[in-house]
Amino acid sequence: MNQRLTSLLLPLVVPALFLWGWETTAVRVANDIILPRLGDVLAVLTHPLEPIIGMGSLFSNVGISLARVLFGYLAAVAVAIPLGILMGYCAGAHRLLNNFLSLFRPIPPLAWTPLMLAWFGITSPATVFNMEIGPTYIFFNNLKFSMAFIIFIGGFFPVLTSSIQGVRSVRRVLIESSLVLGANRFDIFRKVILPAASPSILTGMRIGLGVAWMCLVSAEMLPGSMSGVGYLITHAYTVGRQDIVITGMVSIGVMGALMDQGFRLCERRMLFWRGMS
Amino acid sequence: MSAKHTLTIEAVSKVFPLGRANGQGKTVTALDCTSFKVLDNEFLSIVGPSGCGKSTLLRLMAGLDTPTTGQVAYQGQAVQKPTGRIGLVFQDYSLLPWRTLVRNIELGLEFQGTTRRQARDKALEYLELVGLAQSSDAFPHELSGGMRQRAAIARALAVEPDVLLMDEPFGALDAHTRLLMQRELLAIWEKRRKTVVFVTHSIDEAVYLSDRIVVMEKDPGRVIEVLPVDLPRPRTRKNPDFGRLTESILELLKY
Repeated sequence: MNQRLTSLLLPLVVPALFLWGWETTAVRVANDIILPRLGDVLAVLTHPLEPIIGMGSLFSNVGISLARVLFGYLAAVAVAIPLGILMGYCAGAHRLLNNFLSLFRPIPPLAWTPLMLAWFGITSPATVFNMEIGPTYIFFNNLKFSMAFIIFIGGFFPVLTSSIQGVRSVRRVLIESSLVLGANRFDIFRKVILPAASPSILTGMRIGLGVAWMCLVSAEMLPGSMSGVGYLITHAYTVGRQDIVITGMVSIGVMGALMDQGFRLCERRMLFWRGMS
Repeated sequence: MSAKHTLTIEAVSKVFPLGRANGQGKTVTALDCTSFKVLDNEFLSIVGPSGCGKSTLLRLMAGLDTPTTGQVAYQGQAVQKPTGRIGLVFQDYSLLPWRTLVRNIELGLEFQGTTRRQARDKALEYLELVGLAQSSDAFPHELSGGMRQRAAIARALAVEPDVLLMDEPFGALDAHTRLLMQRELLAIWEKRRKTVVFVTHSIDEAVYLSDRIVVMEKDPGRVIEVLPVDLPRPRTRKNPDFGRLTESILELLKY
């Protein structure tokens, strides 16, 4: 019982010390611009539905950011998984594309910004499809192509790499034992390679979502952005509201961790067999 | 014993190129001009030291590989790719880890276009045959090595191949389980007579199981002799002839 209590409390020790250190330092510094007090941040965090610095509520800004990340990320997944599977399965496709794609891999997503602005400007699905002005227009106009592309780049490579790896590392004996049972190429692909590669692909998707989420702030600093947590942070900075800056950071951290946990839960549910023979 | 030849191995050689680390352009001869015949419904074992090409030979018979020269023929036709008529049981870990046992046994039946219902019935029938009816909904990682191999045998048998090839199927099992599995394999073989080609390291295992034994040597891999095993079944290791035959094979292999 005592041991259980200790193991329950142990993960809370460092956060508690951290918060205590923050609060005492903030009191000592007594300057909101350098370090706001814990209570100021909590005050913003605990009222997520109240409008702040003329930008709408924290809640709506997190929602917009989430929509943006999903927009770019889902596009990345939709391209990277089929491409990765193809490159893993077909040696010719791998030879054709691997070196070329490897050149793009090391480029930080943010480095694409000038090109993205030149190519896409402030276009969005709302402007491209000529939507009528209204709530739908406002929502879709938030999903700027330039931002989506930067998030796309962030999510793309982890998913691609892990899809290639997943397909390539399928054990030969699984393929060969299916061949002697009379499987054709399509059977092998659908019933052996895809399921065998799925743990690796799912891990890549989880890492990719993390990277995509991290690209958010840089994406939301692009012109045409008037909302989102990333923009909230930069805007709060310009008006000297560090408590809101920190609130934004906390929201990004919490949302990212929640999504990661959600993914892990899926992995454990679906892939209970992983690492077992 | 019927004189009908199911599988014929005719002057088969298999030469592999060596990897770059061992010198470019060099090759290794895994099998050198090997010939023998597998008779209908017999239990044939292949023994020999590591590297004598016995697993290579089995892969050629299964159609997973093609000979460099010579030919492997099944009922008079060259074997060029796997067809489902010649089954192969691997040493270990060939079950799909994301499928339950019964779904694993269904796999081959799905490939052969059997309807779901029929596949399920047949899979359960073969699980029953290998004594795993109770574990049909278990996943491979929940089972012991011996149970997994029994499932792998059931999977190979369920598609009703004419020939069953087995590549050291009990090699990864502990000594006790191994003896039990030998007895069970014979029991299954008595029930579902078919041609079995069984590769093993263990001379004892070969003598216990087989009608005939192909003895191979290495560097290069080739057949030294094909010995008939004229011991009455069910066999017992107490039979002095059992020991004598084992001895003579050991001598052939120069131990």
